[in-house]
Amino acid sequence: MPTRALNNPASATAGIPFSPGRTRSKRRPRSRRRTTLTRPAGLALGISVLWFSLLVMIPLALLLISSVEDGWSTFWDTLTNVQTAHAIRLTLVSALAATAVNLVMGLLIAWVLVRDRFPGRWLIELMIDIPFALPSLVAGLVLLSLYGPESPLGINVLGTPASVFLALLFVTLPFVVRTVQPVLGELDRDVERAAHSLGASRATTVRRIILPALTPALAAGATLCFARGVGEFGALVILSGNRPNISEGAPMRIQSYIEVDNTAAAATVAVLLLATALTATLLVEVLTSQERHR
Amino acid sequence: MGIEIHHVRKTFGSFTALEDIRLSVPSGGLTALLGPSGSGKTTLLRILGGQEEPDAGSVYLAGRDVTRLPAQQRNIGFVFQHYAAFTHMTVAKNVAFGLEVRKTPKAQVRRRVQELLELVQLERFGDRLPAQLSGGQRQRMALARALAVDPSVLLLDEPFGALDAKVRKELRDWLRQLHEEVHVTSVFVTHDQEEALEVADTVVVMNQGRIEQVGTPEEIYDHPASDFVFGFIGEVTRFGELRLRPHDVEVTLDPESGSHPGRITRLTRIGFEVRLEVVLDSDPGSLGGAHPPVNVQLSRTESQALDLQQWDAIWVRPRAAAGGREVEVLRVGAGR
Repeated sequence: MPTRALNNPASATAGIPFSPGRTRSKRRPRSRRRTTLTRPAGLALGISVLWFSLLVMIPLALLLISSVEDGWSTFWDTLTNVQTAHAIRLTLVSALAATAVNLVMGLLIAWVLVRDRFPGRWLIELMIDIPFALPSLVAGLVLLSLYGPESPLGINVLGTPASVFLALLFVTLPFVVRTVQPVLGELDRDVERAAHSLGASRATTVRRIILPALTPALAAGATLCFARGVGEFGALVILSGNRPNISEGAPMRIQSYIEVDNTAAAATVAVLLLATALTATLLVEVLTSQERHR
Repeated sequence: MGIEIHHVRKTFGSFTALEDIRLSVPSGGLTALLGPSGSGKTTLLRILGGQEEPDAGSVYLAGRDVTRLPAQQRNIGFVFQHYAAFTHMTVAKNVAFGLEVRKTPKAQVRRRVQELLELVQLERFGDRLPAQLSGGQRQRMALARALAVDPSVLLLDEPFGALDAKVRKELRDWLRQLHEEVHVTSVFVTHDQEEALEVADTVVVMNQGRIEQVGTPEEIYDHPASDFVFGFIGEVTRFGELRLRPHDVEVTLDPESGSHPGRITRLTRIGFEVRLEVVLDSDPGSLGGAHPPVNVQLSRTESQALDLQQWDAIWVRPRAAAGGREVEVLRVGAGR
């Protein structure tokens, strides 16, 4: 009778009690009280909201209003203007492409930095942040030296659509690396060993175990990447040459609208860029939180 | 069959983790690798699991030379101290992982997963995520996951180490019973001698990269092969030139042959057990130096029968027989 105690539910659940009430409350983490605010906490919240309003919310709202203050037709006309539409498309496509490349390269760099020990690692670690630290105008200059008219490689992107892509690649390089790196470092190596012991190859382990664990970090990195890419200005000014319908990006359109005092049109482009970036952020947030709560 | 280890050596830099290990584990048994930290027990387990490669020697699992075989191809089950759960997968998916990797047909996977969840009493938890389970439940899930692939050998690295005392005790009993049901050759690593004696049918005591003794729990406890094993496997106290277990010291109120006078300097009761610290009036042996207090372990009943109190003057002597067995005593300093 080897099964006796194993099939005896009393001995089985003793000490590891299954109480439906407890597990249900675990699934609903919100407490019954509607607020946890004490008086000082309330004050802190008030200051935060005020600060946030003055710096972000109110200016944003005003921008939204000014984008339609000449009526919806101006809003629509601006977006359908051939030159503007081209600029917006170029910016969005370049930002998406840069994000895609960064997802792969960023993961690779993070992997090397976390998993491998080699001389000069600290140097790479330091260099990663240079695109963060450099003013983006300088970033443009840096790229121009290798990929400009005097390129030692014979590659000249100055004034081509590719220049926008290249500039975005440079300035968004750190995002995926820096979001993935800590998560990868925290991953329990035993989890991979467990997968191996169960017969999974390295590739299968990466695909089914490591990548899913990194997905939230990758998503966060990609969002930052995309949002920054859409708004990048400085590097483009230097590198793209602002040729209408060829290498002109959306932020440059905003600037030229402002130069001719067309605030409404400038605001319109700005609102579109903003909406795109926000949508991307929201989408990623929803997708990853669904993944978490599945 | 089972596991054969031939002359395995492993060093990490200048540290010798394993030195010429020879061991044969019978198939179907439940074997404990017992030793203090740094004894090499975990390294040995990891060599069996394919996570480390030995510098020399060879390893056979179920008659197959696996020395240079990667973990993926060894057909083993490995259970980790901290569960190593696949956190983004449900409990059922965790258990199914090994089968899915082997491209087992879906219907068969579902059946097998159901079977295993019942075996580890998690059938109601299949849709949960590991984070929603308690530590004991997570470790049972890890066991089901390891057993899913019908491993020829099950390896467990301090499987109860991360659990609190009560759950640990329960899971031990449970593992013992599970093993009676699933006769897979199992090896687990532990530094807890009680755990090893209670759960395993064979205990391998390791120290400083070497095997000190292999035997049943009784053999190990009653006939320790070395000073180290004697000291590691249970509590030890000194009586003159003898080292013996605290429960092998007899306390009397009047002098008996071979007994020695002393005074109870401390009396601690822990549940059914009473521990005494006895300072002897003089050294019963001839080793010289200060004789440390003798530790004595009595049952509550024994202590009450003698009506022992702190500061009582009593007589102590080594028990002639403990539970009908010959007392095992070793000379101090009688090294290996």
